[in-house]
Amino acid sequence: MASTTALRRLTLGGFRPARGFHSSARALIKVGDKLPNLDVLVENSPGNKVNLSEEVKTGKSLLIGVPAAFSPGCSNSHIPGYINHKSLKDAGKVFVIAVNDPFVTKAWGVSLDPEGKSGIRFLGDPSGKFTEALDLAFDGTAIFGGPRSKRYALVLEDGKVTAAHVEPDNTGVNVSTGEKVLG
Amino acid sequence: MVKVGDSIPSVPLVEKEPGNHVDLSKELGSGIIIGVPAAFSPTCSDSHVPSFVAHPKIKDAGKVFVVSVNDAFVMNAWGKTLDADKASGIRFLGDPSGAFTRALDLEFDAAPLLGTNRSKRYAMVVENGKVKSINVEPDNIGTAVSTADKILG
Repeated sequence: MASTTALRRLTLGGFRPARGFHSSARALIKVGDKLPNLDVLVENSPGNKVNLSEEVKTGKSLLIGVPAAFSPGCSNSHIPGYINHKSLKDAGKVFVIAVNDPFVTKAWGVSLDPEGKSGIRFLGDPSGKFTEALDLAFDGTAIFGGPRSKRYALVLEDGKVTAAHVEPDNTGVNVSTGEKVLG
Repeated sequence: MVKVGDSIPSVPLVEKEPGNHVDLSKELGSGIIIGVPAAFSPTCSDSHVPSFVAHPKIKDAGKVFVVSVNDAFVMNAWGKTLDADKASGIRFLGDPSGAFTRALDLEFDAAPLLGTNRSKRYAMVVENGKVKSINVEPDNIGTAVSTADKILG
């Protein structure tokens, strides 16, 4: 598909930070890390903030990062692979995060799971700050006008990362699928 | 800010897929450009664009485009929710970097809420490639002057 090819060409060209100034250090999130304590994620509307580091403090959680709400890879394969997974309920609290605004992520979530049966919550990271703090952003300027999230799945327990599955080419649907992560 | 008599900027927009470019300076001709702040937001989705989709004179308006600072995937999906069978003929275009909107000087700082600069809400009538009329919402996001009844009667 033309768009996937364009995305691959873009990401293989190397990562260039889209923003020059960072107020906090970025380090690629790894096993044992906690999530950054930021108040930038939003759910359903711009005023509805979600602090994920608080949400994942106890029990099991799963964060799924995607490059683009409504894009074919994200919509047709990656997220449905989780929605339809037989062991989804054992994964604890599940969040999908995209560098999109919350109107878009809400509409996308509704299109993928109209009745919310999966329990998956769709969050927006409109400024990309949360994603950049995990060092999981790539430069999507050419196609998207700004930074976007790599495709990834982070498994957490009691607030700490126990497994990190990050697509090596940023956008492929290989190591971060429901099959690979949930079994 | 863009004014009556100006030409349409030759800054490409995207339709359906990131690689599919549309140059409105070549497409128009005559028609209407409708600018919106945010695809899928309540006002854009429930009032502004539907007022055009449903307008009895929409087919006589020439080529009609909705433009927003969103990517091609989002615009394509949004267009389908508003006009699934494309009966209105309205085309939904993305301005992912905001370059087209900036060229018209019609962007506003929406970063605190939406992460990026966005387009003001406006409706522009184009005739023979030049701006014939331009109605820009004074508060950027309201629906006082740019709805279909104000533009199409």
